[in-house]
Amino acid sequence: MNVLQVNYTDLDGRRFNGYDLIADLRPRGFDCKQAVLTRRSKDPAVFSLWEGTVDEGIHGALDKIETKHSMSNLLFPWLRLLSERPEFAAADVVHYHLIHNQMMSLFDLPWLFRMKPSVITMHDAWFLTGRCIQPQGCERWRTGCGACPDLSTVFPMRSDHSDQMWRIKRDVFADLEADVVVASEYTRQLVRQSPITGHLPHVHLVPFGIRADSYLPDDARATSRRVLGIPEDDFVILFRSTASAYKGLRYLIDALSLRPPARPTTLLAVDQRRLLTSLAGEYNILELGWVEDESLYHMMYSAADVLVMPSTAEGFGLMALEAMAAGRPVVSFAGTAVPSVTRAPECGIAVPMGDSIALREALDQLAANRADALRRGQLGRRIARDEHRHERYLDALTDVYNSAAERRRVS
Amino acid sequence: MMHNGDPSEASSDNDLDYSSPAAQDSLRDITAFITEVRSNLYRRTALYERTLGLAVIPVLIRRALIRLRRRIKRRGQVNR
Repeated sequence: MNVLQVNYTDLDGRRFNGYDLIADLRPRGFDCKQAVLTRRSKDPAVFSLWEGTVDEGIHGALDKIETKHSMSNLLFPWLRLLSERPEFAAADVVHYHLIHNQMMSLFDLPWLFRMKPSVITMHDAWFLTGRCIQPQGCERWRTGCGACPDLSTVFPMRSDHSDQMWRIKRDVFADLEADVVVASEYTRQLVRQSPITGHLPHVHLVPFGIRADSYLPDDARATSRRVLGIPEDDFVILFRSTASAYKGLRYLIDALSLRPPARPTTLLAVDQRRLLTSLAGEYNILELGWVEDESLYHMMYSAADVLVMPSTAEGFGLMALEAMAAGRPVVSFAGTAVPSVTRAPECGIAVPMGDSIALREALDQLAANRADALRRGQLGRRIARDEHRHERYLDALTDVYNSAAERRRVS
Repeated sequence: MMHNGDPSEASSDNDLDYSSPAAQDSLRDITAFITEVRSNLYRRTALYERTLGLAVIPVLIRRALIRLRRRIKRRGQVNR
């Protein structure tokens, strides 16, 4: 079967944007290609819909027009160009991923989806709202948006046209023939409850898979700490250090600033550096930067005692699953997909959204009670191995492809 | 533009309602129009590169030579 994966880029987020599926599905007889705007890999299976600088100029002009008129993904013609590509003509199924990143016009979707059996993964809630990618406690997406409480989050608008965008999405989705894939029960509930997508008959829960066996066993912990230069008896808190508001670093900093730690604690930060200067006195800080090396990536989980994900919006939370595969407990905020992925409260720990005091209490509890941390870690590892096996993820995805193609063939 | 969540402030810049049926009908065809303009642009650029671009080069060289010759001649008169 030929499957065309469509995403705005190839390597960023490759584990869930379709790029890794090119290699992963090949042994199963699936010939995947990927259409992108920005091509960063040299993979011959990936092609860009942009032909040159003229397209980049057109893109910039359309971006200005959309920004000026507070609209989003109504003018970009790039997805339309798919119909001219031989890869599209040859595809048995087209799988759309992150296409709402200035790649399309919503109005082209019904037209494209009618041409080929189409699967769309909803990585976030953008299709369900008038503007934002996660409602974060706002309920206006249920009734038509408008009067948006915060126009500054992704994707920002100058004037509040979220009600108009919401109505356009409702009209577009009214006659859209698509299989929708979601990675978490949380997102599935959003899709079902949305007046825009609630009527769609084929919504598939396909949790992301993981190669759990590649994560280091518990007895590698001391070695990992030695290699990274972390004192063996420290309590080690792993987290993503990023200025992105959705990832909630400020809540973690607030929690850690409340009082000095009861025992020596190392903060193991991945991604952006120099965001933790206010904590330098009380904590040992180790900033790894953006980690691409796979062995270092596994070592950082192995060296940690806990992963904290204080995200205020998360459609799945792949890092949480990775920590579970490594046997580490996860602390997160309620109201995102992470508590359902981590099976809080039995396995993960979820505290009320934005509550830094509760976040600190959860960390102190794990620091004081190593037996509880170990129990949660082992349960998480079992869940990751049993329910999130990479092969199982691929099985579920290929079932979706087969059923979408078969249904179209019959009809 | 930020507002405080008061519904009366919503869509305060409502000069353009692009969600009305008429506006949606117009917008529906806009990417087809843009792709047509784009392919015309590419076709013309390719045509220019293939034909006009090459034809224009000797003219430009000839003009540059005439200008250079005049400048040299003028300098020669000043020095004398």
